[in-house]
Amino acid sequence: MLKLVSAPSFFIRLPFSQCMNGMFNSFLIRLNRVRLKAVLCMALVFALHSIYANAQTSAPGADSNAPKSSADEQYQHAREAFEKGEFKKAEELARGLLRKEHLSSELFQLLGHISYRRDELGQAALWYERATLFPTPSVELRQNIMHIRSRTGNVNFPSNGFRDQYAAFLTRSQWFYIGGTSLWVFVIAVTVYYFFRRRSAARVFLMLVRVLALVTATLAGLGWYWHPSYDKVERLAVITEQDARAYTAASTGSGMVMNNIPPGSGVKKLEERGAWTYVEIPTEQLVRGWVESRFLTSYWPFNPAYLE
Amino acid sequence: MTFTPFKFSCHQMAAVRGWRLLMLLFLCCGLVLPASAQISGSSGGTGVSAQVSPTQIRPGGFANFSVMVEGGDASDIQQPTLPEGVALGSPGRSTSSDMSIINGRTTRRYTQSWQITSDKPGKYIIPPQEVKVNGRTRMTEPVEFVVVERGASAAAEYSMYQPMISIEAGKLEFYVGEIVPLTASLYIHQDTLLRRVGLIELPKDSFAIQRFPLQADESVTTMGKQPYRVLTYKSTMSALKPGKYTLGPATSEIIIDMPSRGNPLPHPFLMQSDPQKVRPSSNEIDIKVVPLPEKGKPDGFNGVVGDFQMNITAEPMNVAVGEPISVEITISGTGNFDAIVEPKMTDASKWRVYPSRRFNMTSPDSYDGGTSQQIGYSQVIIPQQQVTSVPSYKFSFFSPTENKYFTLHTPPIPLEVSPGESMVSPSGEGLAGDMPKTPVLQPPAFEPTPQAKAELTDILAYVPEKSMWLAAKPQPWRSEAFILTSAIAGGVLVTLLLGKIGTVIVAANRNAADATARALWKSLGHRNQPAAQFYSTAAHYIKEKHLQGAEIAALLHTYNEANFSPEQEAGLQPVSAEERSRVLQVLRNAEAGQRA
Repeated sequence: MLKLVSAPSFFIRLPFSQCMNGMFNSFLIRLNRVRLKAVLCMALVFALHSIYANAQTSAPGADSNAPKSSADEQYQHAREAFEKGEFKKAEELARGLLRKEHLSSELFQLLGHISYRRDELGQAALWYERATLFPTPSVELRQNIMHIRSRTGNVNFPSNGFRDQYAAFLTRSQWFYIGGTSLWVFVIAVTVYYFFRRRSAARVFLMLVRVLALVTATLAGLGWYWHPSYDKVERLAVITEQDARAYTAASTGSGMVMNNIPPGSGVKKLEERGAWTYVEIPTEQLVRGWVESRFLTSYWPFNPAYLE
Repeated sequence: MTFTPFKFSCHQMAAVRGWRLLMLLFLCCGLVLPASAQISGSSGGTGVSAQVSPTQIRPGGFANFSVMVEGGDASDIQQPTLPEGVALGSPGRSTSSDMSIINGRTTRRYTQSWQITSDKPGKYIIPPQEVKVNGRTRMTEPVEFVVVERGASAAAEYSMYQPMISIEAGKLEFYVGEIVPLTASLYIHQDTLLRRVGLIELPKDSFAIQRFPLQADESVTTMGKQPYRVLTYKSTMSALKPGKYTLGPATSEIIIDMPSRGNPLPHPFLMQSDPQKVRPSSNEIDIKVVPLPEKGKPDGFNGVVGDFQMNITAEPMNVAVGEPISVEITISGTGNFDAIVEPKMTDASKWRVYPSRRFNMTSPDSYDGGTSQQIGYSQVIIPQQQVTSVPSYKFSFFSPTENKYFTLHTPPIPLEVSPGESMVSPSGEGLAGDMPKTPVLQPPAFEPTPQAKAELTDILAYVPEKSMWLAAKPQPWRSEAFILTSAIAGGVLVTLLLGKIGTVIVAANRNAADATARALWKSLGHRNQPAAQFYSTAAHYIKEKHLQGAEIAALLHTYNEANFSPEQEAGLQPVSAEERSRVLQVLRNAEAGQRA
């Protein structure tokens, strides 16, 4: 470009092509100035759009058929009935909400309280465990689960407290959107990095952006991976009835594996055969045996899409 | 008698050969036909059908709903789709498969069956069931199923066989928290056969009711000249708050075999029976719950109601200061043991007291409200000074039989406590010298302080005011919003990359060594240029390309004339097309000559 500008002295008039070159030069200079801003604006728009899209799909009652207000009113009635000690009425109202596919962590907690007050400790533990699947981590839930465990001595699969607490801060979709957005910001920042001169301030800034984006994407990926998905809980079940026993074969006349599986114990279903289920029981060393299916309740019998 | 050897004639030999050929033909047919039948059977068409047997039942009766697949590999139906009002009698599914060969044709049949029932009379249509056969989805035909109401006479006859439940409370008026025996009796007619008894369910509003056991005490009784088996289930209950309440009715889902009408055989084992699912309801009981009196309520009372005794043991009885003593306290009696917390030491000033551990000495499961129960607390205590006895422990409760509060105290247990090794006199001279009467205990260097520990006795019944309803969402990567946003971001990225590549190419083109010459050549091609400008550009091109030769010299001469001659008019005349072509040809030839 500079060669053309410093043309030989015998040029009398500036040729048309030289005018065009000048315009192109100024365009490039202008483009260099606005390019970083444009890219950053686009990344911001993309991030905001992703969050907005996620918020749209995860908004309370986003796809429920019944009006949200009626569900809220029914929840309030159930709550009031529980406070008054009318557990049967409270349970009917709460289960009515479940039948209409109105699910929430708070409703699971309420059903857990009702079950506990009705001395159904296995059911109570199951509702509390279901409530822990959704943000945000609750100290009350953890304490209630611990209390039921101390009363029944139930057994459960080992968990990692840090992972569970961390992953429970957001839903799986939210973790995914954050991870996806961060990855796009990273890719765009890496690309735009090479548009600028070496040792320029913009390059330093983009380096910082891509490191932060990579860290955010990693953290979001871990949150997404650790968060319970339907695949992880599909085969889990909880002992909800008392006097559950595990046998070596699908018959009460066969040998005993475990004489009394405490209510609230988590098991993994391996096979179902008629009225019997072959399960894995997380005692100190994993044991397997046949349990009558009527003692078990599936961990997540609802629509798997609620776990996303 | 002469023996004549048997000889075949030619005709006979031919006949034998014919028979042999015929036999061989039959043998081949025998081998080939079943095989071909097998092939045709396996490759033949498949059939899917459904049926209900029997097609008519009484309310609460059972029928078998079967889905049959012939001639193919069928997928399992986990749960059939049933119309409203029809339910599964049992959650299990039974399967069977059989194979039949009819006229050499092999047919396989796979049957899946469920037990279904309904309580409401009416005509039901079981909708088509979806089943995959050899990977293809097939539907069964809808099946009709009728539940017929019993006639008046039959209903009266069946009512005789209906099971009954009654509940009975040990007391009709009792205190809040008091444990009261509760009995549920199930009466089963002797002519019926009990198949299954569900859990006895009882509304638990305002009461804490221990779950009824699955095992019952069994006896026989006669009511209205009818013999009944009586299954007695024992449990306990306690009231959560004072007031007047109605307890019941208790219900349970029961399956019994009722005798069919007109059957002459006397016993259900021998006669044809009709399985029925029934849910009898019990009587209701009016209960009055009395609040605990405020008068005389001891400090630290925490709602324990019953009649209790308390004992204590401690060992060893001979220790040094700083050495642990194990104390075991047992509480026995009847009452709400769940509410009992550990008894407290009355004077713990000279003791280091560790948290106690509770253990059951009798199983609470076998407790029926009347028999005695026993629990224990074990605790470690350490004397910090020389003491003479283990102080007494106290435990308060309300006795419903005496209608007053009691506070039990254990007797002090005499001890011999010798000075410990860490005991020194105030002067630091040791214990061997003038030992003071009340030695001072030096704080042990590494004795850990027992950490406070939570003791949960109930749930935190916190219910959030608002419920954040969950939404069923597709997996994020299937969400339209995510796909659209990713496409936009990808588009931005591609645009940036293409822009960068284009910029680099254009810049490289502009900065090439022959860029000036190419620009000049392009300018030479413009039409109607003034001669001065045209030849000036040509001269510039000649200089850039370092062209030489006679024709080039002539061109430069023309350039000088056009630009620097006094006659400026000639320089302003436009160059004709022929002249422009000639000049360009000269330049091309000179450039070619230079390259050569």
